[in-house]
Amino acid sequence: MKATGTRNPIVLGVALIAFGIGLPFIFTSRFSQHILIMVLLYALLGEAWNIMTGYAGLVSVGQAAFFGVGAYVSSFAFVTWGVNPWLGMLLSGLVCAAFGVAVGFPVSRLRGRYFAIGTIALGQTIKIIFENWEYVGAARGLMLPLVPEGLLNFQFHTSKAPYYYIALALLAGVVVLMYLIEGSKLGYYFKAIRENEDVAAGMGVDKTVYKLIAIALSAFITGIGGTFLAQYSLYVEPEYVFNHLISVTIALIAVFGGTGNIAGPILGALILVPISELTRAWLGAGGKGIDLMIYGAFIVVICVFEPEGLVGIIRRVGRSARGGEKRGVPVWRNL
Amino acid sequence: MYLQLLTGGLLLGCIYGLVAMGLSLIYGVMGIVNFAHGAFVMLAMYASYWLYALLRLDPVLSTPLVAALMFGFGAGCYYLVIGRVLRGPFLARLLVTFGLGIFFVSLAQFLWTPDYKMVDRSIAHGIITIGGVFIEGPKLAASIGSLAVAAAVYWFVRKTKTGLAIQAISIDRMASSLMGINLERLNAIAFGLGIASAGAAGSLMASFYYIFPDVGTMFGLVALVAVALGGFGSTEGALIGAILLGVIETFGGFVVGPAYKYALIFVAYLLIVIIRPRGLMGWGAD
Repeated sequence: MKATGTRNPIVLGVALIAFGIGLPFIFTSRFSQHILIMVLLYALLGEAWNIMTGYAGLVSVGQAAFFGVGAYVSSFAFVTWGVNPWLGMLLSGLVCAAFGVAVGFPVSRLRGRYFAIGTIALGQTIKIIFENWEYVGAARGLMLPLVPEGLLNFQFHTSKAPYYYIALALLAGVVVLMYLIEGSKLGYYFKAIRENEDVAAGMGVDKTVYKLIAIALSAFITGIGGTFLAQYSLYVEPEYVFNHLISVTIALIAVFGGTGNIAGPILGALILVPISELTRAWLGAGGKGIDLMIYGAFIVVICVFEPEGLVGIIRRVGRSARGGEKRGVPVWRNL
Repeated sequence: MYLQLLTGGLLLGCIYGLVAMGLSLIYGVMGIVNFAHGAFVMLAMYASYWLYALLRLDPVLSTPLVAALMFGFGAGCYYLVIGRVLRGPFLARLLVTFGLGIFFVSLAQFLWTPDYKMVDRSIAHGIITIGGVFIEGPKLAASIGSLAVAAAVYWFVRKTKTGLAIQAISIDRMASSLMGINLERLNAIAFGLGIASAGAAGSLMASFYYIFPDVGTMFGLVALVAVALGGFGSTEGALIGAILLGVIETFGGFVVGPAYKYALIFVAYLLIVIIRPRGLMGWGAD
């Protein structure tokens, strides 16, 4: 199921990366570069969600738990032991993957909405723990000390462009990983579990193991995203990195773009993140809440009018152009 | 001391129970997990507050009025939004109420600022002592009111013709449609009824709770956990789950510390559903 119907993904990928490298030369202001960075970060987080939910069918509304833990692990290691942030990033990914497996082992027994509510419960619990954990700064969070800027230190003060390129590289890496998964046995196992886990188990897929692999991969990438945000904003606090809205936004971006394919979250982030950031910049001043009002209304409008997401629109246009092909099986019918 | 905590937990649990019952009813009939439920509670609290501030109507007494308002509001939301996504994909059905919730909370923040508001003197003020246990008047009134409203909803669903039709839908949508039940209209009634329950709970709580835009979020989450704990599709389960959570919250807040009381609720949920993946009394395919 190649999403966009391109014949050669490598050509397309190289063209997209070249386009991505060129973008900061077009958008030179700090604010527009900030938006670009957020687009890439959320595309990354959306892809991570996609592995767990779009492919393996485990609906997560608690990705902020992994995101926050990732932000905290590297920041804490940096502040306390002076661990290099790059090493911290790897550490964050590994800790998140281990954390994901540890909590995922019991929770993956749950199905459908019991699982989704379990992820919410988990996200809220982790947030409350970090808000009260004095050792990691409790509700105050952690401030990352300024060090001389440079790639090795993962800190840049004069320009935002380096952060952009790091995010682009991370996203490119994840997309390559997704392509490998898509074409491998692993991808088919995930999809089999998503479509019907009982049948998949009957066919010999060890569903617990593959669910845990999906969760671990998703947590690893989300944790790396957390470290990236921590290095970008140079502070972490529970209210910010464990915010439930992050979990909802990640899910929304992937749903809006279209779940279960690689292009979806990138398309979703490309459209939703600028809307969210621009309304916040224009209307969010003074804590009036207009930006979130528009955001909430937007979610409702998408769900009512375009529940299949952008990829659904593209497919529909493609289908009518090719003269009405047979409609595919709805992905979510079993839930 | 333990008797005091148990009483507090039971009183809290009854209020949670009313919120959870509305959520359970909505889920049972149309399969929608209403993540905006807490936001509806919050809107009802504000409605009750403004009735008090502008017309000097006591929150406890204005409960039927607020419930009626919320019924109409809920039915309106059904026709405008919920009814349109019912046939959509699972994730759209899941996310649409998140959107509604965010919208209502920010709307409240926009209209009424994030500042705390409070009803300064309810008719149910004061403290009653029964056998050495202190009970705050407003909480007692709210719990009794919650049980009364819950009983009324229960009676409506079990005994009236409309209620029987609602039950029929939650058992088999297709068959009840073939028997001549107007699905759209009854879905709207069920949604309105669910929101009215949340609204009644909100109005009853307005007499002793601080009111601010985010106040409902935690109620909504706790109610959701209560419904899942009791098992989706079981109204009695939701009530039992809610009372259990009220007791866990009160005892846990005392033993472990108030900062962790909600964490304990969530951990309790995880532990219970891991042992019983369909909640305490749940049934049906999931």
